[in-house]
Amino acid sequence: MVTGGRHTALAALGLIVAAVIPTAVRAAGGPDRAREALARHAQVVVLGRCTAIRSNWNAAGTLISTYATYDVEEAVVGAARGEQLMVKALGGTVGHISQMVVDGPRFELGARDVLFLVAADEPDALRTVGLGRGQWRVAADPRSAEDLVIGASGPPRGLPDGAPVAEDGGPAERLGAVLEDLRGYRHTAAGGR
Amino acid sequence: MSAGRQLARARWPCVVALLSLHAAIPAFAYTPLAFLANPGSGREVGWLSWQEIRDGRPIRFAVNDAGTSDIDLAPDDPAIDEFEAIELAFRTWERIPGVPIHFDLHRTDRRTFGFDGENVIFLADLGPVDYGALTLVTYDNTTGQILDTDIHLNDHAIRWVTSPNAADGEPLPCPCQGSDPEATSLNDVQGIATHEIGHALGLDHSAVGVRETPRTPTMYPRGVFFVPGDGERPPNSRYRTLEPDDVIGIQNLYPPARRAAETAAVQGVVHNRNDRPLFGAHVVAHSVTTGVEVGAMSGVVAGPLPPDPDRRRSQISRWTR
Repeated sequence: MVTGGRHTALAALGLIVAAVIPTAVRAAGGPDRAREALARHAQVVVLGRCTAIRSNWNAAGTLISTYATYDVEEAVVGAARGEQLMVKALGGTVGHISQMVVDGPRFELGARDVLFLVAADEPDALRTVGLGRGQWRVAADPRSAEDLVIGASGPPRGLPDGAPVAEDGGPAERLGAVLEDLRGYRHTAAGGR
Repeated sequence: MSAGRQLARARWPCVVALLSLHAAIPAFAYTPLAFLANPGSGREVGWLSWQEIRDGRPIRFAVNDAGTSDIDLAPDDPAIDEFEAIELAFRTWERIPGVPIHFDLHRTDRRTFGFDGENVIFLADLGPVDYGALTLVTYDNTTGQILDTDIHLNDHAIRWVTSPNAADGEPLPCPCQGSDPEATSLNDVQGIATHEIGHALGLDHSAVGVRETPRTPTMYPRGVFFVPGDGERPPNSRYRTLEPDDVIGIQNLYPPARRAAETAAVQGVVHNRNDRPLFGAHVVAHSVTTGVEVGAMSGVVAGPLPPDPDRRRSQISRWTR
C-alpha cells in the first residue's frame, strides 16, 4: 500500500483533471444536428428560472408527477419574457417514496435551465422534449462569472475511432452563443416553410 | 487511510483523464444512481440498490407477453425473437463475478409502469414519447432501497431488431429479424434491454466512451442509429455485452465478498484549480497495456458520510478490476 500527499498521489496516478467548466469546442466543427433537431421539434424554447416545484401521486397511487414552475427570462420561440410556464415530468418525491426516470429532467428551485418543450398530457402543462435531453442547466463559471450552458454539447455521438475530439470534451458553452444558435435554427426552420 | 489518498495494490499504469461536471449538479452523476437521503437538506447522497441482491434472493421481473409486431417468427424458427433477446439481456447481468444477481422471470399481460408491486419490461406504442426506452425506479428515499422498477421499450416509429450472438456473447452480423415500414429509427432489443436493466439494478450513465468503440460500456448513454445491411451488426448491439466499467459499477454497488483480495483500488480527492474539492468529476482510469477503461464519480462514496462537508463532496469511489 502506498500512501502519500495529494500532489504526490495524483502525479503517481497520472491524473489529469479538467477545469470545473471548460469552454466548449464543437468537436465536429459543423452544425450540431442533435441540437438543431431539438430546437426544431420543440414548440417552446426558453431560458427560465425554476421558482416552484410540487409533486403528487396519481389517482391510482402508482405514479408520481412533478410540476415545476418556470419564469421565462429569455424566449426563443413559443413564449414571452416574463411569462410563467408549468413543466410536468414523471417522477418526484412524496413523503418517503421517490420515483426517478433515469434519463428524465431534474428540477431544482432557483436553477436556470434552457428548456425545449412540447405540450404535456394535461391542459396548461408542458413537458421536455426527449426527457432530460430537453433540459440544459445554466451555471456561472466560477472564474469569469459568465453564464454557461452545461450539457448543450455533450460528448460527440458515435464517432469512429480516430475521429477528432475536442481536447476538453466540451460539455459547457456560453449561454449567449447557445441562445443565438437556437434562434438561428428556428429562423431557418421558419424561412424554409 | 489519510482522507482518501491511497493507492492500494495498483497494478495498472493509469492515465486518468478528465471531466467536468459542475459541483452543483449531483443529479447528473453517472454511476451509480444517486439519491438525496434527506430531500430537504439536499446534501446527503446515497446509492439506490436492491436488498434482494444483498440478501442473495432473486428479483421477480415480468416480461410483457405482447412483444412487438416488428418481429414475427414462426414457432419453429430458430432465430432469436424479442422475448429471447430480453431474457438474454437479464442473464448477462447475472454473470457478473461475485455478485448474486438473479432474476426470476415470468410473463405478464401488464404493460404500464408505476409502483404496483410488479417489475415489468414491455414493448409498446404509447405515442410520440420522444425516447427510445425509459426506466422508472421507485425507491424508499430514507434507505435507498429500490421497491419497484419498470422498463418501457418504445415501439412508436422504432424498428426493433434482433440478431444472433457468438459463443462469447458478441453480436453477430445481420441478417436481422424485425421490420417496421413506418419506423424512422432502428434499435436492438437485446442491447437496449441490457442498458435499461443496468438502470433497473441501480446504475446511472457512464461517461466512459466518448468514442464509439467495441469497448464502449453498456451504460454509456449515447447510441448510434443506422439501418444495418447484411454483414453489419445492428446499431447499439454492442451494448449486449458488459464492459469492465459496467461490471465494476455493479461490484461497487453490491461488493463481492472476495473482491478486496482479487482487485486493485484507487482512491483520491479531485481538486479544482483553486484547490477546492469537486463533486461530480468523472475520473476515468485507462490501462495503457490493455486499453480497458473504468470510471467513477467524485463524491459518490459508500458508507457513512464524513463529517467534513468538503470531504464528503470530494472523495472518489473505488474502482477495481
